[in-house]
Amino acid sequence: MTSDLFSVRGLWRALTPADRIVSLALLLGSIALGVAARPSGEPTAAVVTVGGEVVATLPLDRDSRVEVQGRLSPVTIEVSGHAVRVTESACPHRICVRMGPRRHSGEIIACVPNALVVRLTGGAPDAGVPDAVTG
Amino acid sequence: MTTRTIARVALLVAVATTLAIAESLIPKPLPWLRLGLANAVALLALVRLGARAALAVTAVRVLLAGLLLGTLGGPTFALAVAGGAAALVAMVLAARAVPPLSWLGVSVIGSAAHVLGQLAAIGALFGAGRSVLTLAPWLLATAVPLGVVTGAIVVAVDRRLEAW
Repeated sequence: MTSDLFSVRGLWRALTPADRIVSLALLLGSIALGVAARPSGEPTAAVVTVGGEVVATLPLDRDSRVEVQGRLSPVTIEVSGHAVRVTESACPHRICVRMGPRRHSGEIIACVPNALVVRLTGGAPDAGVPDAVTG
Repeated sequence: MTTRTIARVALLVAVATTLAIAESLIPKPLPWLRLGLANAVALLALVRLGARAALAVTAVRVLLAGLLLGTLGGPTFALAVAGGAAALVAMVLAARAVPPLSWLGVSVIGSAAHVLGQLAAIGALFGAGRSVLTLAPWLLATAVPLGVVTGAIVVAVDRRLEAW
């Protein structure tokens, strides 16, 4: 560990075999997790929760806009062309707004300061219920 | 803890809190991206002073940063606690791993545990359930290289602190 730590090559040399295996396993494992968590099929609704409580369910087959009260500020959520996005929020970093539109099943937009999550679900009637139990 | 250790822990708390606040103010290319310098200070505490010092640095830093940023008690604070605790536990365990990891490897594990802890908190507290896992590839894919970088910073700082 006396190598140069300020170049990519130096950093690579500083990694022990165990370091490299762990890093690779984390990268591959994360991709596998992400793929496994994504339900198949087209999403039919965007479910909006604040602190785990469902506050709105927006069907994706028609354009709409709704304002909900988050923990910190009102948040505006818009459905347009089968995609959902957060268009306005007064949270500090506005990560939710900058995440842009989401259109695939299982994808989420999270606004942490507002404890708000927008989740795309596939059309079952109880799609708004958080799926805490997942075999 | 000796008085000397307490003074050093206090110094690291001050550095970690300052870096946590500085990092929250810097604009980032990707909104959710963060280098994790505050966690790097927890790793430095682990490297030089041991697990108890790292716990003290993390706990007091999370509390002070929450107080100063105005997030104390809110959802953002809950995520800071989840991420900080997950990273700390993971790094303490990783430091004892066989075959041995370097501090870079320990840092990678801490960085990954930080994002996983935060995802778990979003899933459990905000009703996102397992959907949070769809964010995992992006977060972990960046957490691993960033963990190497913060680990390298810790090792470089550690070398220059020989006389400490």
